[in-house]
Amino acid sequence: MTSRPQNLVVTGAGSGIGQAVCQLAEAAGIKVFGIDRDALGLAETQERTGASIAVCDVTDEAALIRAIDSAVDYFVGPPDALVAAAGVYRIAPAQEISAQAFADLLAINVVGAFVSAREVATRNTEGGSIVLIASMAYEGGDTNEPAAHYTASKGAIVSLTRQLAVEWADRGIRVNAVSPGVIHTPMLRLVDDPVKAAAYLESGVPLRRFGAASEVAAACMFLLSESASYITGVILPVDGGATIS
Amino acid sequence: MTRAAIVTGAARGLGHGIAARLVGDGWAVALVDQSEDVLSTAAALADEAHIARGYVLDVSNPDACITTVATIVRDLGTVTGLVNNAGIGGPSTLVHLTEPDAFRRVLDVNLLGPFHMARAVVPQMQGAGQGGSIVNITSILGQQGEAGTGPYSASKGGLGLLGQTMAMELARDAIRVNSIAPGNMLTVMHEEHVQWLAENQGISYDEALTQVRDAVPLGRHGTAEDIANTAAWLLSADSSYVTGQTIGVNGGVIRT
Repeated sequence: MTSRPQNLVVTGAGSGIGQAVCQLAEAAGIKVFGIDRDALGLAETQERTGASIAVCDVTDEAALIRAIDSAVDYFVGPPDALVAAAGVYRIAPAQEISAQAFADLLAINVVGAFVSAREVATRNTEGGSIVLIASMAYEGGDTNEPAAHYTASKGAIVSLTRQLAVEWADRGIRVNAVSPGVIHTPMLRLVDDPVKAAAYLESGVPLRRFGAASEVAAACMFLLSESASYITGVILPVDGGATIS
Repeated sequence: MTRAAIVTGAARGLGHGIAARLVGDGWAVALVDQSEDVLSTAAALADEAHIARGYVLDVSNPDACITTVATIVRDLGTVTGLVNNAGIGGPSTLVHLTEPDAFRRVLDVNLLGPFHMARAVVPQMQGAGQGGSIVNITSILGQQGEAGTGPYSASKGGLGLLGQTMAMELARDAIRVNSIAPGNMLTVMHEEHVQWLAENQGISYDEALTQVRDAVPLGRHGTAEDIANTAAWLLSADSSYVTGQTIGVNGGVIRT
């Protein structure tokens, strides 16, 4: 029905939201190139979806540029879409976070997303759509799972989304972010304690269940599609109502 | 099973575009409007494979909302989708110079209309136990004010918060409530606003229109189709974990 996107790059494609995006995209007939530093997870994605892949750490700028060059070769043309889902979540009280640990996390979650977006946008000449992954964590603090570096990284994603949206609008490139709530992925720590998890869902999530990676992926697909052609610079929460409660 | 949805303010403009999209998606659609034109608008969307019916209703009338929704449920079956799109622009006078009755009329239609529709629709959604999705059409002016839009901005800001409240109240019934905040759409309502901008600045209508468009990063006005696409997504199962949100469909005129 919709002609775009045709060529999609997904970072963090080896698990969770990134892998779910690859599955929905392949099912929709979109060519997918998946990037992840986890070779095993990436192989699983390839097996499930038929996506082409490159093992690459998004903090290695030169390697990431080469990976996206490989994507161009695979597509036989420039990518017109990106979902930058590579990211890590680490819980630590603020007083125990070293400068190096803080910088390392920003390098993955923020700089990795930025370089991915820049490289896709640089190669794109005919308009496209980019989706970054924020988190409900950017909206406010959390004492149960303190993660100052993670929270700050997601705040940066929100600012980055709005800046790139305005900067690249005249090139026909839309930039939006999906802001997941508590989603059942390998990143989720809350499921380690079922009693705590049930209590959280009861009090903190109006829809009273975890989200599925496929539900976040569906929001990514909507923002990538021509259906969202007048939407740019938005932060779309997919959180079961958690951030309004 | 056919799904039934109601779209208010559906005789023309955004509402018509939303209804047309939903009909195409396979919804049985009740088009509601205070204008009798809605009957022919609906008739034009219906054929052997597509269900669309028109209903004349002023959404500011609470009793009429109850009886009309009952008729719609009888005609089309359980309603699991509601798009509150009906709205009026209202006076462009400065707030302190605005007649109370003119202000009240804007609230009656734009804010209380969706409230009356919710009172009529939600109990049967809960009774049917299939969940549902309610979409309120607010406005970028409900996210940030602008001189000469007092009653309208207040009504749309209020509608956004009403939607958030309902999202929390109805989540247990798997009824999701979200808002779409359109930016500058080329509707009759927007044309009136541009006319006011032109008069206010002593420039021509075309100059004012260009001024508005140039402020949009994507460089164009929005269309009914843009809004309809997002409304269709919010009514669909693809947005099943999204509730209580406002999605700005505004070409990058960023407000939070």
